[in-house]
Amino acid sequence: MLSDAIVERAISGFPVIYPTSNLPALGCVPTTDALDLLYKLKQRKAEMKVSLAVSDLEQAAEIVEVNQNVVRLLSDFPTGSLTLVLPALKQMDERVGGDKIAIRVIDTPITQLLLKRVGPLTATSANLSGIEPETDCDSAALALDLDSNAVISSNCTGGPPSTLIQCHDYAGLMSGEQLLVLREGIVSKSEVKAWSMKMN
Amino acid sequence: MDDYILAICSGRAAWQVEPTSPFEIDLSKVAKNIITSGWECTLENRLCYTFSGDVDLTLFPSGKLLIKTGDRELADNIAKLHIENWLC
Repeated sequence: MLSDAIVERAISGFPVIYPTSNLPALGCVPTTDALDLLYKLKQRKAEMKVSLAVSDLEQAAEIVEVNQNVVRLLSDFPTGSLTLVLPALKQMDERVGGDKIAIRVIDTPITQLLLKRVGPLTATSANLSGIEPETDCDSAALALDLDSNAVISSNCTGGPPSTLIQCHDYAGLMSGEQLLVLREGIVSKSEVKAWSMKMN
Repeated sequence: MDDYILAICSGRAAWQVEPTSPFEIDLSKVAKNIITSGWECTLENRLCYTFSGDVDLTLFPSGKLLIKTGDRELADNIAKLHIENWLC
C-alpha cells in the first residue's frame, strides 16, 4: 500500500527509500534543492552521478531520447535489469548526468506506483557512500536516520545491480562498440554482446 | 472519449497526448487505425509501436501518443484524430 505521506514527501523534494528488484534505493525528484539534500544525506561527492528510476518506457520517453533500438534493447531483457545512459531531451542537473541521463525502468509494482505519481526519482543505493547497503528498506532508513514516513517497507532480495550501459551511437546501437557496458550486473557483458550481434 | 491532455515534452521537440482516463489499449488494433490514416508502422513491440508519416509517432500501451513535432497546431490536429478516431 502506497501512502499519500510518502508521495507528498517525495513531491516536496525530500528523500524517500523505495524497493527495487535487488536493493533499496534512495530517491528524490531531480531538482537542485532535492539533490542537495540527497547528496548531503548520503555524504556523496557531487561529481559522482546518480541514475533515475522511471515507472515505464513512457516516463523514460519524457526525459530521454528513446529510439526503436533502445525500445528493442529494453524489451529483450527483463524489466529493471538494465540502466541505459541516453541523451537527455532537456539539460538536467549535472548530478543526474546533465545532457546524458542514466535511466532504469523499475519492475517493483509499488515503486512503479510511486514513480507514476511523483515522476522520475533518483535511483542511487540507500546507504552512506562507501558503506555496504542494507537489503531491507527499514534498516536502510535507520542507517540514514530517516523517519518511517520516508520509507516503503519492503525486503529486497539483494543480488547484482542492474547492468549499466552507455549507448554511444544512440541512433545506431547496432554494434558491440556502440554499447559500452560500464558496470556488469544482472545482465552479463556477453549477453549484451550477443544481443548486439543478433541485431546486426 | 473526447477529453485529453496535450503537453509539450521537455525537449520542446515533441508533444504528448494523453487520454484523461488512462486505460490499457490494444496496441495492434489502434495501430491499424493509425496506418489507415496514412502512417507506416516502423516498430511493433510490447513496450510501444512507432510510426513514420507527416510526423513520427510513438504509441504506448496506456493510450498515450508521442507526436514528434514542435508545431502545436499540427500536434493538436493529430491529438484530436487519436482521441476521436484511432482510440475508438
